[in-house]
Amino acid sequence: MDEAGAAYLRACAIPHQLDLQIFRVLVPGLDEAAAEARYKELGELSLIRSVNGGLALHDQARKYLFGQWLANPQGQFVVFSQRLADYFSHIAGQSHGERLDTAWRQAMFHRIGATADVGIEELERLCRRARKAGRLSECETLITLAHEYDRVLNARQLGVIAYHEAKLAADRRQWPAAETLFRNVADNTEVSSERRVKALDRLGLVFSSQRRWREAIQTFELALERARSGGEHELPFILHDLGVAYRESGDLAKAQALLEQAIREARATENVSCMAAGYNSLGTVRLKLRQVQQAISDYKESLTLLNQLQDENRAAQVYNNLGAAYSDLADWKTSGEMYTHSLQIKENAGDTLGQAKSLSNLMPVYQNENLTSQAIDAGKRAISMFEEMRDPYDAAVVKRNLAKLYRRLDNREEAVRAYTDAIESLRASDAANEAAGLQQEFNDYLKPRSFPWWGCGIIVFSLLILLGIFTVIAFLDSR
Amino acid sequence: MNERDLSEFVDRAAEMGRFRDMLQSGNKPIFFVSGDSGFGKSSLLLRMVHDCSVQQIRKAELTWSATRNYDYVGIMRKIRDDLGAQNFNEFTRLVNRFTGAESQEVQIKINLEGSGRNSVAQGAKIEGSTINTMANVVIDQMNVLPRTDMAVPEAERMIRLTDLFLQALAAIVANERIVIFFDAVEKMTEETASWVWNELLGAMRDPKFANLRVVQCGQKKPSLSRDMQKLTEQAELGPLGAADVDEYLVRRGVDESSRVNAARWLMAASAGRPDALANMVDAFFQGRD
Repeated sequence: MDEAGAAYLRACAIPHQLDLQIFRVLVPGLDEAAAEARYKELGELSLIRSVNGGLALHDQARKYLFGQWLANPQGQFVVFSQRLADYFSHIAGQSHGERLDTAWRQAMFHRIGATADVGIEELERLCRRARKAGRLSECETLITLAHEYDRVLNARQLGVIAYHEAKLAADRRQWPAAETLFRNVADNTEVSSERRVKALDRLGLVFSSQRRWREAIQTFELALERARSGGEHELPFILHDLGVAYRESGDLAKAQALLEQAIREARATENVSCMAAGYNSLGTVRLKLRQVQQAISDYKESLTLLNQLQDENRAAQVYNNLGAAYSDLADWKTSGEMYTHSLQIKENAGDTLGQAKSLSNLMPVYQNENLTSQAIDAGKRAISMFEEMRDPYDAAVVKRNLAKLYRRLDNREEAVRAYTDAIESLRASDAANEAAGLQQEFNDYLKPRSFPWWGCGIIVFSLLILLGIFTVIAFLDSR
Repeated sequence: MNERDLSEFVDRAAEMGRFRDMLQSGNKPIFFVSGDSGFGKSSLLLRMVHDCSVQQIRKAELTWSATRNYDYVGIMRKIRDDLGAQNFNEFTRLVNRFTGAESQEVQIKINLEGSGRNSVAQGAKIEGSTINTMANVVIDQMNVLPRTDMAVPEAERMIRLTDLFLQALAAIVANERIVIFFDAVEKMTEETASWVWNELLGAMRDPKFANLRVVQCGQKKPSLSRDMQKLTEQAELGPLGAADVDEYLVRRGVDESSRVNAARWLMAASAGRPDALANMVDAFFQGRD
């Protein structure tokens, strides 16, 4: 291979794979025939394999050569990266769906090589888009690509990548990794103060998710302190999260004060979404304080705000909470209406699991309204949906509730069937303790009913009284 | 280039034997080939793919790379496209529905002649001289983002799409053997690997999938549950032996007079690593030229 060929080979280590078109983008100076000849020459090398209709260097070879580029990422490397970034951006402009995704990934990767800050911004945009759509796999792919540049990125840029990686870990409930990454971002003085505050807030949420309230509160307090001197935009969110942490740890007075403050801060910045969340959370505090009417008022305020945002999905959750509140007032009719509203939103959204939960909530409402067949129907539908969505534990819980309902109705056959089903499902969901508890309850139900001891006592006593009366009568007669 | 790879392929007779056994018997219908980078996994997979072509066994092939990283939807789409989209209409309709695309159906002509392979020709392109049947095919709009007016949780989307996909796949494998090849699986993301093992390969416990075979190539051995161990045959590629190096030199056209010494030297220098061996022989030919 001549010197030019060697240079082309080194250039081919920059993209992950290439075809003739990409090769010509890399080395635009070659005419068509020359480019084809060189491309063919490259394809003959054992270092290079065919993949997905194009060529790619073997991993080890690419890693070595790309590492060589990163040892001196200037000049030619920037030129090549820029060309590739522009090419893939152009391809993205003509693509949609999966091809668009692939083109964007490639454009982002090369943009980092050309101008790191611009490329990292692109990474952020794509990560947010993917997370919003629930596509965690896509996030991982983007972050893995960005990490190829670790040795040439500065602390700030690495901090941005770490922040998104931490969010991904939290989404996956990988708590230790999420904690470490968020802590690192929060301590990274090169990262913007706003991002450091956000990282602290999210670290607090990681603790909250694990019910580690003391650590959550400490972290939120720290976030609050830092937000006041750089990151004021985050104040309503942090106040809200801190309020919820206090609520869940049992300090309801403090929770109420913080949530009210969160709402005020959100109102001052016209953050309707945060206000809606605040009222919803405050409603739950009031419910715990047995201030049911005020809770209802807060939930309704939240609904009004969510309707402004046309956020039906969060509205479904608030309707659910209203259903619980009206249940507390034993206003079963209104409770049923609220749960039904929640159910309808979830039906429209295609959220089967959400529907199952609403139906499960409706069961006791129907029971209390003596709408027994509706209660049973709701239970059966909920079970079917939970099983369809492969949630055996929740299905088991509803089966258990159904068993108790049948028992109350004295429908022994159905009760036995439902108990048996529920116990099996609990065992299948690794809920051995609950299964054992329910088995005991079932065994007690199956025991033949014995006459209570005090009943025997009453009968014997009555017989003795009668005997006594007859004896007296007989005695008086004989006299 | 693939022809060159096939003609230069050496050794791995044991692995090929196990692959052929798996094809026939199906006792362990999942074959996992592991080995470090450069140990010839992709070449071995290529050889297996070729074997399937020779035996006229239909297949699907997926290769992961850093920028082409299939997620579970991407996997199902690719398998669908390799096996014939007309068999997966319900699945495609649901994908389109979840991504807010309008489903469109077209009639295409399917060539059923000769090998019994169905090749779906886009845009009613006619292949071969015998046209047997027309099929309705739902066109996948290939969108990736979920529609914004619905809020089906990702977990639910996955379950529904997987169920429809597996139903369609079961219908195909009821009538014929199918092999799915996965290469470079170490590049799969966590979610994707979890879906592959739990949903796709997990379904193979069902007798409905008795005709399905899956071959995976990756750098790391998988950590398998006891259930999956019963279904999975594993092979780990090691270095080539001296005889293999000699055979490779024969296939690369190294003349006999140079071969003996070259084989000895190359064996020592490459430690039997196929990629190192191949690169050294390249360099030898380049230097000679």
